[in-house]
Formats: sequence, C-alpha cells, structure tokens
Amino acid sequence: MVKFKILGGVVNVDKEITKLDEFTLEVIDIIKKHADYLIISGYVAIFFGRSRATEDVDIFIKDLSFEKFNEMYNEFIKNGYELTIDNAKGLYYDYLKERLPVNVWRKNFPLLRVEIKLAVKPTQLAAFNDRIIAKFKDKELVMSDIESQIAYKRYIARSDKDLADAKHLELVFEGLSEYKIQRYRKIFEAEFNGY
Amino acid sequence: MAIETRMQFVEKWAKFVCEHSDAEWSILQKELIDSQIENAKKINLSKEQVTMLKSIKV
Repeated sequence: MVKFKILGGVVNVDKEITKLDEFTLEVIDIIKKHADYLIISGYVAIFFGRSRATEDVDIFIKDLSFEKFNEMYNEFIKNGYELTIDNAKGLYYDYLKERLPVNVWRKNFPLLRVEIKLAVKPTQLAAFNDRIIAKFKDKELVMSDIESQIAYKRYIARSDKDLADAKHLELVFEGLSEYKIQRYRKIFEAEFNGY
Repeated sequence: MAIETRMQFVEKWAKFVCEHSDAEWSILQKELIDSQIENAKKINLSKEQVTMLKSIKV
C-alpha cells in the first residue's frame, strides 16, 4: 500500500498532469504573484486521485489592496482570461470585498473556472497556517490541510459528493489525525451552525 | 447512484490509488478528467449560459 504522506507540510506526488491541473497551475501562477492563496474543497480531493472532474476550483486569497488586485486583473486580461465582470474596481469592491466570488476562466471556455474568495472568517484565515504544499513534477500548489477538508466535507457540506471526497481523502492519506478532524469539526460547527 | 453504491466505488478506487504507483492511477484519472473537459469545450456555452446553469445547480 502506498498512501500519500505529508512530511514537514509537503506531499510529493509523481502524477500525470490533467487539463484541470494545467488550468489551475496557469491561473495560480498569476494569482501567487499578487496574493497569498490557498486551494480548498473538491480540487484537493481530485488532485489526490479522486475519480471525478469539477467545473470550479475554489481558492481563498488573503486580503489585498485594490492596487494589487488591479495588477492581478490586468495580468489576467493580458493573458487571455475573462473574469466575472469586465471592471477591476467593480470586481474588487462589489464582489471580493462583499464576500462574493470572483470567477476567472480562459476566454471562450467559461465552464471551467477558478473561483476566488477573500478569506474573512477565522477558520478561513487560520487555514493559511495549516496549509500543505503539494509538489509534483517541477511545480507546486498550496492547499488546505487534509484534516480540515475532511471535517468540512464530512460534517458541514455533507452532500453525496462531499462525503465521497472526504472518504477518498481518508483512505488515500497515511497518518491523518482523527483528533485533528474532530477539532476542526468543532471549530466549523461553531462558525457555521452557531454551536 | 445510491450513496452506498457510490461509497463502495469510492472505496474501490481509493484502494486502487493506494495499490498502484502515481503514474499508473493518474493515467486513468487523466483520461477521465481530460475527456470531460474536452466534451465540455464542444458544448461551447457562453458566459451567460454558464451563469444561468450555475444559478439553478442544486
């Protein structure tokens, strides 16, 4: 049995790069120049082998100034991407700052998108401290901690797809801590359900 | 697909991932994901159509 193992916050994967990975890497290459980012949710399970695709790659970014956001916006446009609306100011103040997602996609292919949200809640900000780095080929992606993904999907999101993602992650990772999962569960439940 | 059946499949596939090298499982996963993306490209939906689809997604 060869399971994924997190050593010093790093997981090495020697996998084939899918078109979904390519798209994610291209978008992240731009984002990371301007903001701290963290990949969350379905793509994390898919990256580690889950047998499904997705139309949305969800990421959190830390707060950034409008000037930085504008630079990022211009770089997306220059490289052939489209965003939710064609206006950096509107995207920043009416979407990002209002906690609405900003979507990014390759021109003429809006079905596959990266959904950028501002990390605001305590759990979202804390996730940046527990992040892991997935290294593959000569590339790397920053992702949310696996135990927090399992807790969120198993106890908060709970759709069939989320439960299946959580199960997959539990089975393919070595050395996960059930104690940590339950700790995240309590934090998420307090934040989302108020208890 | 009933959740029990889905979970059985998830368990079987996760076992395959654990029992095979990254190169082996990821070739199969790449086929699945890339073909779905290629099919989605052929549908050629506009931004407005995608927005509408996502708004009614359950």
